[in-house]
Amino acid sequence: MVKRLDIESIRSAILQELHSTSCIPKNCEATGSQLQELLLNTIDRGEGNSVILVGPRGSGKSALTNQTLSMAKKVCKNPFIMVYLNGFVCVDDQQALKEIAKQLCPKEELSEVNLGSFASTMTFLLETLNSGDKERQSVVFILDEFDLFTQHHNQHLLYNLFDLSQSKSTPLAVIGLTCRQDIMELMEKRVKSRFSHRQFFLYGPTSIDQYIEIATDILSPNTISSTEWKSHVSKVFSSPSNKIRTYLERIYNYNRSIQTLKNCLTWAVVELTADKPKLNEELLEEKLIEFFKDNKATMIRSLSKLECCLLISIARLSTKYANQPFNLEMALHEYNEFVTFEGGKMAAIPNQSLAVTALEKLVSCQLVRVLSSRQSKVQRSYKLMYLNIDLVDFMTIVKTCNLPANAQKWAQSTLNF
Amino acid sequence: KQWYQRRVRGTRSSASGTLSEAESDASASSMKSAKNKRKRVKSSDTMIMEVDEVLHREDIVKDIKKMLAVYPPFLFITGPPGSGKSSSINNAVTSLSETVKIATVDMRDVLKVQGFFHAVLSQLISEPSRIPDHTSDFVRSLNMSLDGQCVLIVEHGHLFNSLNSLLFCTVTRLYQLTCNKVSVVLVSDSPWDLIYSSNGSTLTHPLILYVPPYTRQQMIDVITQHLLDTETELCSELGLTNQVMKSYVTTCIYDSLSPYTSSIREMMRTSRRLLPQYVEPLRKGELKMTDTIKLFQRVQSVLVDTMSQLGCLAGFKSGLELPYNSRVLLICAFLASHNPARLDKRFFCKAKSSRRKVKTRTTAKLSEVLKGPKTFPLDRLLAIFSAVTQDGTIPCSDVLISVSSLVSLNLIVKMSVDLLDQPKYKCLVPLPVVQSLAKESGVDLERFYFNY
Repeated sequence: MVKRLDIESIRSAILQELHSTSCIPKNCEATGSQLQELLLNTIDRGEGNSVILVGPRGSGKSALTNQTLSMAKKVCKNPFIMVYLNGFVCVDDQQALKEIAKQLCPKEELSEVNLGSFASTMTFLLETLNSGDKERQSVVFILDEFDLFTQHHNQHLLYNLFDLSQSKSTPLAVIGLTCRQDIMELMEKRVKSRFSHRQFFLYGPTSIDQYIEIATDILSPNTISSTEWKSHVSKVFSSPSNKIRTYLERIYNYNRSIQTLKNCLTWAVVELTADKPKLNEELLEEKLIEFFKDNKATMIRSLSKLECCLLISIARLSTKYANQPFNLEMALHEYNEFVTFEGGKMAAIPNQSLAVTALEKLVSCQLVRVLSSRQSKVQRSYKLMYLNIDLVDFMTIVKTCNLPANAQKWAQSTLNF
Repeated sequence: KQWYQRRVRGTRSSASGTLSEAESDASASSMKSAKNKRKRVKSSDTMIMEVDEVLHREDIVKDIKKMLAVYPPFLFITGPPGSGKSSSINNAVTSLSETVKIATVDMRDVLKVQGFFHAVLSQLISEPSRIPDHTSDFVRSLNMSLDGQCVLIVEHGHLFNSLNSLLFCTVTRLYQLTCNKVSVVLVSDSPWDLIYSSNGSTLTHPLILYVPPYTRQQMIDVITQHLLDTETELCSELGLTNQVMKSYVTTCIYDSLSPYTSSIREMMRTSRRLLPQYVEPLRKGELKMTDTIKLFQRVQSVLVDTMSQLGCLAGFKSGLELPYNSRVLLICAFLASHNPARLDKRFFCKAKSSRRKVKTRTTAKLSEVLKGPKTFPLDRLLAIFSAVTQDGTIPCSDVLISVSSLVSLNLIVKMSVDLLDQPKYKCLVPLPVVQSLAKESGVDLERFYFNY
């Protein structure tokens, strides 16, 4: 019997695990030890090193880096400073330089005057860091979304960082994290030559058993010592009475990202309370099935008849004219053809503004998107747009919509073009 | 503050940037100086229910509360427009707002990236030193000044893509970037796959909460509740019960409007507009409250009128008060945009001898019409103007001044200016408006207008 108090601690431990990037698959042990050795070389022995971790999204790159760094803090004798740069946040080399300055020397106020050339600023920063009687501190740079740094002008930051890592002034370690496999082609020649050409590849789970093992590990992290809970979790995943394993296999066939797995498991974990100390299996199954649910279909089914018919006429235009952009007038013209030939008077639109509101609703649902070229001088009903959903998808969804019979027939004849 | 809260939003186009930077500053500062220093900015949409209970959405509210209590990295709430997402999240967050800082940003109000930064920082930090220009400054100020858990709610999140897609990627990862302090909740009408597919594979997957659309019965209940809450004087005056309201909403509003619009806001607005006329017979004492069929028949003619006013575009004509010359000029501009140039001779020359019947091609491709109004040079406009007014007078300077005033009213728009050529214009006024203008000014539009 799991005691009442323990459920709370179990729950918070699992939630911490879910929300942080700290869960790595078991097949990364080798890479982890190599990375740790590299860091030790830099911090303890003063070598300059650079490495890139390549792996698809959700395969554990950040998790591995964080884990290695926290272990290095405990093991290494010398102190070191960590500078974290993200490619989404630092869109420019100037921004990156400011960020580095703030993280390396937080007390120094780097005014605009000091920002001379890049290289001189970097050396200035490192000098400031190592001034005083403290021992030489090594710096570890972590560049997340490394491929975005290669898009900067002249790859200035990368060039300087790799250059400094080769020089003897301060021991520098540069760890790049990216999901692009062709990262070596993205780097310029001079940058590539200063890079040490070390790449570690991470793959994420390679079999369904590893995937389920990761799921059990997430739900029973190391901080929980209760063996009863661990056996309960493994029973949930391996019991033949529920379909959790089959659903997990289905998800695994589409998407191996650990983030998706965490999202599906979070709902079941949130339900854990003192009254319900066991994992809710039905809820877990429901959330796993929801992964395959198509929200677009429910959205289209909830549209009014006018909006649905407008969407059908847009689909007809797309089939006739091979996905060229359309405007509201064309869609209305198409719809009026239907009205004159098959629809009868009931289907006619009383006034233009109803059609405009219907189109606005479609735009707000993003089923239809406005062309991004400058259309400020174009009237609202003549603005060019294009259909954002796949035609075949749409046709299958429309079959389940609640439309009058002649509209349904008109819709089905679209595919005959 | 009251005026700010009562302003009703018109059509939901994304260009509704009526809240300028100065206004947002003023409102933000007034919010700051209120008793609760870090009060979050509430949306100015009066249709979002601020009641204690959200009808038919109790499960959703419970789910949101449960999930927010554990501070998820990224929560995405989606559902068709008007399905109660904003009301549910406002409700779920009121109990949380005493312990946790909450910031709400409506992306329809944000026109520039710095506007977003300012909106977020002014709600999460009590005195932001300056508005950051760049994303890195924004993330750094969040990291430095936040001391506890926060929740950032972004409404109409799909508009983020058109603003700045890199910023969108950053905001979805804000939880990791701020050391697990900021939970991001994105509320949007569009499903996640449509947002994700337009941004490449750079977005992290959120926890998705789907809010289903209201069923028929639920929608009727919600509209009835809204009516009873807002039209309290009318209800108490005539003693209208829940039953009467419900039958009103079912017959007049829902069943008549649902083929055309599924938007609950539209139905709420129309129901409020129609209610006085519906209860007219009750007030006069001609009919009793139980004669629902007769009440409906009385109101039917008015209903057809109201339907033509759906979509809030009816106000366009009523705002157009122009002098005679300008009106005729506008009609000429419409004709110049609409008629093809080669047919001008046929329409605008004085009746010549019809000895030589020149067969001009009168058929024109429909696709040309559907693409929109065409541009015309200034000379052509003035020529048509003198043909239509039949004065024979040469257009003088005040006609040219009228042209520039029409341009500033945005009824005619000036296309790109070529220094070597004449300025070219385009008319932006639709046909129904021009027809009513022509009737007022006594211009025979049928004679000049080329009907394809």
